[in-house]
Amino acid sequence: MLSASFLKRNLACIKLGILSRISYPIDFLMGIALLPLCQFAVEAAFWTGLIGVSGSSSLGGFSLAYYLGYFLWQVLPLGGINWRFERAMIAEINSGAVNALLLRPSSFYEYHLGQLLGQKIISILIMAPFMIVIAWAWDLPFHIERLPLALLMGFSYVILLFALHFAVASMAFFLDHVYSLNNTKNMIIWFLSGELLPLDLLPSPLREWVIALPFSSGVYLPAAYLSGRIELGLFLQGFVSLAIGGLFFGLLARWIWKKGLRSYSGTGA
Amino acid sequence: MNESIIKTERLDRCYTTVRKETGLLAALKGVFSKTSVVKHALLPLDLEIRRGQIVGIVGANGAGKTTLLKLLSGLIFPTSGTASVLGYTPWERPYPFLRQISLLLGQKNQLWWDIPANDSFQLLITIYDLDKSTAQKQVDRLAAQLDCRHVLHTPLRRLSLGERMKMELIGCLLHSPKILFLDEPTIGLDVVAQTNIRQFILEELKGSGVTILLTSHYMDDIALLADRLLMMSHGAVAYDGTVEHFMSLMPSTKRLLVDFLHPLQEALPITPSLKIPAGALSFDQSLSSSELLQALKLIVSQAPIKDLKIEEPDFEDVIRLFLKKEFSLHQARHPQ
Repeated sequence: MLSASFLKRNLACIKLGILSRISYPIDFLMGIALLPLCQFAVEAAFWTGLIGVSGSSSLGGFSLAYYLGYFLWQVLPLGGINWRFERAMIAEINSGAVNALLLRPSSFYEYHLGQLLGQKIISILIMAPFMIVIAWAWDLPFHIERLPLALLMGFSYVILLFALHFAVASMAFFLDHVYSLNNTKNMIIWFLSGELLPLDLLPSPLREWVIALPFSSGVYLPAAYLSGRIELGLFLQGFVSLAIGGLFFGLLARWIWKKGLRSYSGTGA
Repeated sequence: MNESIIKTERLDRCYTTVRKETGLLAALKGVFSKTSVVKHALLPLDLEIRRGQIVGIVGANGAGKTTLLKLLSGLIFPTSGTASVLGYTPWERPYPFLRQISLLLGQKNQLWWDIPANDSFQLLITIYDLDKSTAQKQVDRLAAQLDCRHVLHTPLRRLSLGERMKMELIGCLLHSPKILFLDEPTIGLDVVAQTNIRQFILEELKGSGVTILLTSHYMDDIALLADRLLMMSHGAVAYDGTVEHFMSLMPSTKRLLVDFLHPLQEALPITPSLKIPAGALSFDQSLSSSELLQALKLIVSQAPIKDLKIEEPDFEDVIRLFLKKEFSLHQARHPQ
């Protein structure tokens, strides 16, 4: 049951996430605005070049505008991989900074999830207007009325992905370094989410399998839904796979964490 | 005050580490076959601590002091044995238990590095579900007592080590814990900061009913604050009693300090196993009464003295002597 103190604690973690991020204003602005805009610019250049050299005005049945509309989702930091955050969790376990958190009446999970959500909220508040302005200025396919549902899927995906990150970070209790494992996981998710390329370009039946996985809710489903590449039916299937995936990764994270604590030696103290 | 608040039975902890050989070839071999080494950090321990006691835990590095604190605070699981702290099993870490304890690690920041201490305290107020105005008054009172109100709004990363430690102490005391685990709270601090922290603990906490387990390498911390001394050596308790009783157990020695006018022309044999070498300009040694007499006779008659002092041994000397003796005994028992 959600108690008042649980909610207060989580709100405080969200606030901490915002406070600690804006304590470094230059880094904050670069990370929140410049980096995603650059990412979008790189994608725009790549797909413009690719479609240009293909000698056709479309690729996989979609015009350049659809590709730009698709990658506009990258401007919001919901589907992309958050390297900084996972590294922080791993470093806290490796260095023993986790000690302080273990001895307070709150969990490491809610502490980091709250902060992550706080950072996502502030990023979206700042970047959503940029997204709308770019779509309007370049006349990209962008269904603004679909934005609330897409954001809901984006936040649900953040929670699912956090459970997976948490599971991998908890491996740091057993292994001295889990950075390579983490990078490998991120590389796989980069592909499975549709961040690398729209998943509908994959050959069948790989396409159907990959779209059925919960990772497609990170980029492909919301981006394709917002840009009009897919319709509501397929989009809503994403929530089902998110629920199943969230439960699976949540239980996995809990199991690894509990096992990790049993072998933990209280590093650094 | 006589109520038992911490009780352990056969509590022990082993650490398994991987032994890594030197060199590239050995490192490559180590990828496929690993040699594990089991180290007993804490041997089966029966311990009882009463409410309000200040227990000073002393020992060389690796003696098991911090492992004991980590077990009793719930940071780590034991290999075997049981412990009850405030009626809870600490490593289960239920929230009602965590609300009643605090662990301060002198070598680790526990407040948030990026934000001002006062923001950290606000977060702690929420985490511990404290009344906001009462807790803020507590922050102000403790900050005034520690003379650090002026840095409450400065990001932690901008503070000096001494200021940070004061903030950490406030963070630890904010929720009025019943048990305080202090692991080397004065480590790395200059003499003035050490004295301030020591004085604060003495005035604010001693006699307040808070039970404190304190480890420190500064014997002044223990001598001034502790009601009870736990001397640990090689994972076991080598002494458990008061500081005064511990001092009385040790053989009576005095420290002799001599500065010579000129380097000694030839060695002075004080005992068969102790001599002042030729060329020495000074001599500093703890000696028994008979050795002291012998040394004084020899030095006064044969060496040109610039300065001579005889000092009573302090707590630190006695501890050093005790640990040295313990180490020799351990070596004799475990030659490998």
